[in-house]
Amino acid sequence: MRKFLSVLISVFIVTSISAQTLNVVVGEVTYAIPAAEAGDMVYSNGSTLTILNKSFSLSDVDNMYVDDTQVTDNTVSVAYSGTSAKVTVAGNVAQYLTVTASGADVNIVQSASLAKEITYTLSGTSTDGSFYMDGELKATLVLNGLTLTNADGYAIDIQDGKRIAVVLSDGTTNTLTDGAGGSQKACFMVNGHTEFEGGGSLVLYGNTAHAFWGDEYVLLKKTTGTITVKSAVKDGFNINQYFEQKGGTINISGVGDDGIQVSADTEDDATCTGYALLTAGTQNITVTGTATKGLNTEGNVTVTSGTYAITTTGGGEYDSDEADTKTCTAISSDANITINGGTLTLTSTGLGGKGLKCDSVLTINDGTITVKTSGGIYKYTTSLTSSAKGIKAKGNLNINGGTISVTTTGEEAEGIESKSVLTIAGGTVEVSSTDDCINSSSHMYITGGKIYVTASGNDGLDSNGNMYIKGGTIVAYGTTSPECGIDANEEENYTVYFTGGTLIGVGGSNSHPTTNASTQGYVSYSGSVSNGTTLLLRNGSTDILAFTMGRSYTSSGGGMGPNGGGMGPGGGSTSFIITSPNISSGSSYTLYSGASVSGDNWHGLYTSPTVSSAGSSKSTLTAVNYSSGR
Amino acid sequence: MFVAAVQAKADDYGYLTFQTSNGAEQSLAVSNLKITISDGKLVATNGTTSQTFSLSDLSKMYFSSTATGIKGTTVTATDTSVDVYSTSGVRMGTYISLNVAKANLKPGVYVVKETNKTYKITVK
Repeated sequence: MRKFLSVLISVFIVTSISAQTLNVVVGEVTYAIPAAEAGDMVYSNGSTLTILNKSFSLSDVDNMYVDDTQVTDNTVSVAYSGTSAKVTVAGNVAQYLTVTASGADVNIVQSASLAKEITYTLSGTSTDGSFYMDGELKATLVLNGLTLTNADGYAIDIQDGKRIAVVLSDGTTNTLTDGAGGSQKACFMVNGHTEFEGGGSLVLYGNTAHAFWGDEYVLLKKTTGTITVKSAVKDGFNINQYFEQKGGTINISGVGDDGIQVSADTEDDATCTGYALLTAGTQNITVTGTATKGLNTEGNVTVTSGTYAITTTGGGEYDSDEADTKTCTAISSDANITINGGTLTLTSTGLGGKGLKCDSVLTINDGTITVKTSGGIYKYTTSLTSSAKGIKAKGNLNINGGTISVTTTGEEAEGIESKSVLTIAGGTVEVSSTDDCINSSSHMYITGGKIYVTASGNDGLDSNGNMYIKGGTIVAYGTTSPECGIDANEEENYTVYFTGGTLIGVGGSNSHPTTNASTQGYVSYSGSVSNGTTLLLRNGSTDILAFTMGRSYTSSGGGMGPNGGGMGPGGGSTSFIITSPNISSGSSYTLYSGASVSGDNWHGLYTSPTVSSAGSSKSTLTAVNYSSGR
Repeated sequence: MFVAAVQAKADDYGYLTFQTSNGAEQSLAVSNLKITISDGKLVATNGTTSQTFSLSDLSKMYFSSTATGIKGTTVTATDTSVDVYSTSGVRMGTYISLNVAKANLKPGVYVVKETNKTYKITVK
């Protein structure tokens, strides 16, 4: 084996040292012709030299020399140095390229007859340089320790409309800066499909418009390192067709508009709807401009994995195109949003700021989503306003799983809102808000999951249609009268349906079932219960559930309504509505106060409590499954 | 392995041969070979040997593993000793000068190596 390796190595050495190369130097461009490929190099009329079908005007040739440089076919390298650049073109592709270099501004155009993909490798530093490439064949662009600043235009402009692989060489940091006040769309522009890969870093400064502009799709492959946008007058990434992230880290800050904007371009391909598909990787995005978005898409947003921390701090403004207000949003889609996994931490501090918003259906199947907004309501006029919301869908909103935490603290800020039907079938949902915690413009369905909502200034659960409680474990705090723990739109003859699940609604009032289609029993109680006090509901000696009060009520409201669920004026009590599969209509239950219990609980709700002390009897309650009164 | 070895040998291009319009050829070793163009002339030098060609007289150049150029009229024989090989690589001997070699060799084509250049000669 040793002998074999020795022979193999010696053969390799012979091969390496014997690879002569003729270098034809034309200005800053060197055409590297491997001796083995050169063949006859023909002189004509004393004026031209043709090598591998590439004709050189002899008057342009500065010199030629032979060395042992290894030439890799189908490559072009550009080494920047100060205000100049050395371009080296592999001989086999020389005939297909028109290369000009003026100072450190390098311009390469591929001919239409080029049939082999070229790899362009850029390295070095220039304080006044650029790179331009055009062609009709896919290409690879390797950034291998490049620091390129162009004071009067783009840093890199790839007009080639095909697939452009952008490789960030492992272990390298590459920095691109364009000039201010120019006409370029971005510091780094790609007219074709951009596919990032390679474990290095890319830092972008966009001083005229965007930091990166892609006329077609942009893909970050699994191997992608870190792309950091330090500044941009407009978007960090402005992408057309669609955006996919399969890996890598994107850091964006210092931008004037959106972090990442994705627009549709369906003219040639109907599937290029401006969607964003995030399957892995990391995003750290902070945007500060008025009505800006961290991730803003014309198409769907789908997240299956990865870590995304997005913060917006700007306020709102009037959108004349939409004749409506628009405000900041961490992730915004003009279509659907689907979260199947990943960790999303979304923060919005400005007036009307939102965490997650879409114009159509929003679905959460899994993942960990934490949303915090602290802005109050944005008011353009008294009638044109936009309140902050943690999660909002103009279409249906479906929560089937995941761990969701929403906190809104500004004036009239809601937690989760659907402008259509809202359904929660699974997952854990915790909302703390000033206005409604969970609101639906149409019906609300809860069929599973664990839900905790606490509103400081409005309802816990607020359905503007019917409210269907079919399953799940729910603790809903609304504020004082007239707001509710749970609120169906009784004013327009909608109601509550209890057919499953365990719920305790606490507030100044609560809606209750008014139809016998609501089959599960419930009890209502009104009275003062101080924070930390544990209530125990018993049927005889059977413990149904226990509940430890989690907040204080200092209501000025008081007397019970006819069904124990509504507050009349002038009292000081709190309304409770409790339903459970273990509560049967017509049965009698005793409510104890001051109980001592233990066991698993969901925000103080024990569905199988271990009772060490029942406390004192507070009231005897008769369960019903509905009441015709309101 | 064999293929690799053959490839290695095939890639060994030690000479760059210039051919002028009259068919004459001149080979220069490529080690440190530099070529400049000015005033209608091409100057090729490898540090020890320099050749000048009129651009209008050049027809082509090519790489080769041996000095394959037929000695042209512009090359003048010198009195320096030369090593002579057959075209198949068999060493014929060392002669005190090119003229002595020509006088002692049978008719045929030979490769002559001097200190800094290699070329072919035809002995009639």
